[in-house]
Amino acid sequence: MPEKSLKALAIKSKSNPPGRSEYKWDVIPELDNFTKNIVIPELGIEKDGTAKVDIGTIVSGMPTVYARANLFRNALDTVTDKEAEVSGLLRFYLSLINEWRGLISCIALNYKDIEVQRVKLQYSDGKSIFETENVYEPLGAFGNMLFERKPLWCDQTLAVNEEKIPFIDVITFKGQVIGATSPDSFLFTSVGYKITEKLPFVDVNSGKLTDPRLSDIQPEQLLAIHAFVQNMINKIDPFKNTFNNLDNFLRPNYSSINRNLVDWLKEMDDLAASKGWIKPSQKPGSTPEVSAFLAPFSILFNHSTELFGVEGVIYSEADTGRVSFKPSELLLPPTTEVIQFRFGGDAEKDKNFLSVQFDDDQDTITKRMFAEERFYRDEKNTRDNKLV
Amino acid sequence: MRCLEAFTHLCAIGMFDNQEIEILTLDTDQLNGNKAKTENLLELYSRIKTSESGPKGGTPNANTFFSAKLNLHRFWTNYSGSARANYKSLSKLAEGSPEKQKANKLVSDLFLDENSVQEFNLAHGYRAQTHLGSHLMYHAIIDSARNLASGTNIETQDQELEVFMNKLNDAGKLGARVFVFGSIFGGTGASSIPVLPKAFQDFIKIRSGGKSTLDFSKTKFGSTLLTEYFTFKKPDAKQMSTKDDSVIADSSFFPLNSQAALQFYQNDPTVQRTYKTMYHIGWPIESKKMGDEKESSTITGGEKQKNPCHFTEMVCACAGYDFFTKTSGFDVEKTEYLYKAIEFKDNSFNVNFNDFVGHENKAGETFANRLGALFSLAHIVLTKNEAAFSTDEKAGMRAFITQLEQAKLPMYSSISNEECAELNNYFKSFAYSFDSEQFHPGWIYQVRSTVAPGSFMFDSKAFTSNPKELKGLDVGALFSDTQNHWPDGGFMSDRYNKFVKTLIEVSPEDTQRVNTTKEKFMAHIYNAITKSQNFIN
Amino acid sequence: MTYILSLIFAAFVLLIAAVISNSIVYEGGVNPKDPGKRKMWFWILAVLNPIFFYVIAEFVMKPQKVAEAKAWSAALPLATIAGFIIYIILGFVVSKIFKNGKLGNWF
Repeated sequence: MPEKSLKALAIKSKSNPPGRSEYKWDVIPELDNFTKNIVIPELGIEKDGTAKVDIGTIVSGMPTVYARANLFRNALDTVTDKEAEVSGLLRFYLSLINEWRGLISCIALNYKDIEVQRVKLQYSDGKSIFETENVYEPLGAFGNMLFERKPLWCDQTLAVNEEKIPFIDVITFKGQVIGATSPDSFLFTSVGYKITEKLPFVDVNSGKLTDPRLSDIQPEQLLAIHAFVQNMINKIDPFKNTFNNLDNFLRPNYSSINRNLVDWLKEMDDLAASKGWIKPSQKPGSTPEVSAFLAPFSILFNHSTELFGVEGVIYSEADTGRVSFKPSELLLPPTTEVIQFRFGGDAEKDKNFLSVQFDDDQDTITKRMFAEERFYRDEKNTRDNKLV
Repeated sequence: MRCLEAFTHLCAIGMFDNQEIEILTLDTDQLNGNKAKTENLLELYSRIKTSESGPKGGTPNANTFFSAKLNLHRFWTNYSGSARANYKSLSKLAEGSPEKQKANKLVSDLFLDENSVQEFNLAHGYRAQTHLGSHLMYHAIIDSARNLASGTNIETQDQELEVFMNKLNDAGKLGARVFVFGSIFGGTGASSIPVLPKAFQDFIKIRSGGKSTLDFSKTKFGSTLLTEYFTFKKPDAKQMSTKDDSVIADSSFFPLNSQAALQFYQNDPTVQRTYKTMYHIGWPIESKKMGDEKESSTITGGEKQKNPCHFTEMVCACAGYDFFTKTSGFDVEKTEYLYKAIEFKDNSFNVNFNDFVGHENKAGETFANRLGALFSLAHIVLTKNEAAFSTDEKAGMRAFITQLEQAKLPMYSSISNEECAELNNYFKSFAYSFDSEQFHPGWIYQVRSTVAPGSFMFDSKAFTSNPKELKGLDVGALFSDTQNHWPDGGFMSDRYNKFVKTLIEVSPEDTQRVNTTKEKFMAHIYNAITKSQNFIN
Repeated sequence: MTYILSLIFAAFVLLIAAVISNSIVYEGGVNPKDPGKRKMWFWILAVLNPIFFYVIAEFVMKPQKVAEAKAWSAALPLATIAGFIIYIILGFVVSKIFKNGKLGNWF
């Protein structure tokens, strides 16, 4: 009697589970492979090779409100070879990775236009799910939907005695929400943003973020992104270590992200070589001085150059007598206005000028100084001259 | 819901002896045609088991038809009224201080499309927006617990849910098994699978004021992961232009959604910690096209969504059987993902009885015996005793009783015509019916059509829809395997004749634990048919 | 002798009635006609039984000797009636013994 041919009663996949156990329920071997190779009908692609299918259609298939963030992680885990022939979900994942890189590039190049706002995922009335007024309120409801993953979305760098509340750091670019942080993929983009400016990390057709290698990028911009990404790679382990006190099943694994970032560095080098520029790896640029992020993501993204100063001279290397400092800590914020009071040449000659001129008490002196300051400011507004 | 329909038929053939099973249906779409059909079937099953002298829904029996007692509880979400019509209104995004509104909008807009997902009408369900659906279904269950705990805004569905949850809580102290039927594409089921264990656990916590909880090591959860097996008419741009209809499930994306969902199920720590077993069931060959092509638009839900039954749903029901009856496989740290392989030839599956329930301890034979018995009984009632062709009170089950009366066995004469009609109706759902000249295939006919041209345990003649052929059908020769045909009557006799002799000779037995007249009647017929089928037990 | 013959004849016809009844298959449906058929055949044979008996007893089995023939003919009418009654009584008894079977349809 000829042997029976068995087929898995499963969704069509190029890596179908074997038809080996007749009549029995069997464990699916190589589950990842099976799922990754599910046969997807041709969905169509845009002229530039990106997927035609809207991210919304994929997001809606994943039964968690965090689907969007999860998809970025899935994309990074799944796409190992960007040049390989891909279709269906994998093609879509490729476009997602481009968007992810676009967001990183945006931070690297335009960090001054980036703001980060921490949103705590708990009910605004501070009450628990038992007692809160509106159980559907998104702040608390989204926090509830983390379930076992809640600790992963909390700041583990806080002290033991501090309450750990899950949060999302929302990232805005020139006032528009473009994405947020995620402990799974570091970053993910928001649903409905659209950037109309012509920038190297923006796809002019869709208004979405994209890998700047696909755009008209300048060499110094490439250097800046390269340096930023290199810094991120250096900081992955310290960032990952902040989760060391979590249970094993929750602790994140960033090997796929690390691999993707390393690949990106190489791709940037290749781009430079193709344009006849010096490769960023041979002559690295300065890491952008990003400061917007809060702990623990500040470990990954924030950077401040360490300088050394002695007797009014600033150095980039340490030496005897030089005091190290971080410019970002010393420098005034960009919104600062500096005002100088001009008392003329006599004040320059006599260091006791002020006490001689103003023998009143300090309070009066101060008031008079500010009155004079207001005078000069008013004059400034009239003449449109700034006193420096 | 169709998996539950298949499960109900499994109970009807007698696969769950001595069991009392609590069933909770969850839905968002009160008008869903499939839901109404399944709930009607469950209520019919319950009425069949109910007698005046006994409790509602009867009692569990053994080795007979309708042996399990099924208790139906229903929970549905209420999205009626403008305050609950869509995500935005339900979440009260426009209420509260400016800072609160801003923060809530920020979080919502990060994950959910503001113009479509946040605004589509929830009355017809979640429309394959499972990311939203899981969020809403979880909170609907929690909301119900809060209402019950506070004693305010309690609705019928909250009370029904509470009855189910109380039973689960009680059973969970010693050890309970909960099986979730759902697909990973589509709306409600796909949304609910990942959140149900936690939702139930949190419901119990809230309702008991924190005194009770669900221990996942004692209350074990299993689920189906059913992937797509049909397509329906694609929505057109016109239909999608209205906000209420801005989200419509497009089945051409189902494989993609299934892939995304499966990846989620493999990696999510909450799923890994709450489910012991997940049964993946899919359909690897051409999906059937569903829906009337004459329909001008895609049906999004409501009464009109009536999809016919599929073989994969029957396999899902058997996955439930496996989960409820297996004695090992629960000491796992992470969820186990299982699948089944079936004989495949010439681009079709050839289905054997053992494929459904395995073949250990003669499970396959028992299944064959029982399914064959109910199918034979269906044909006797509908075909031989003309219940499918006639509205006469004497047709169908009543004719059986008359036959026994003529043999001076009047013990079942007290069964009323209404009770007989209920049984007739059940068999019409199970097998087929006629509406004037129009043939309507019932569950087993529909399931078999999805396997065809592959073999399906019974002779193809058993699935004829031609009235003439039906009237000439030999109800004792339904099995493909002739060794299970009823004994031939011999000279000037036939199988049915021999069967009736057997029917007269046998009677209910004590081991069947039947108490009421109706239960004894079903046991009597069961014994006659199974004896005739020559399965060695 | 005539009476003994009548009894034997009645039993034999009853046996035929039983064979015929058993050969009538059980019918399903709204109005199964098989019980009626069995009853009908019982009564047909109940009527035919005395007719056949009288004809056979008078023209086939009558003794040759005149005296015996005269006695035979004198007893025949009563024997015929007795045969008819015996058939029915026996039929009733048998139908009660096999009340759940096909023969139970006779009464």
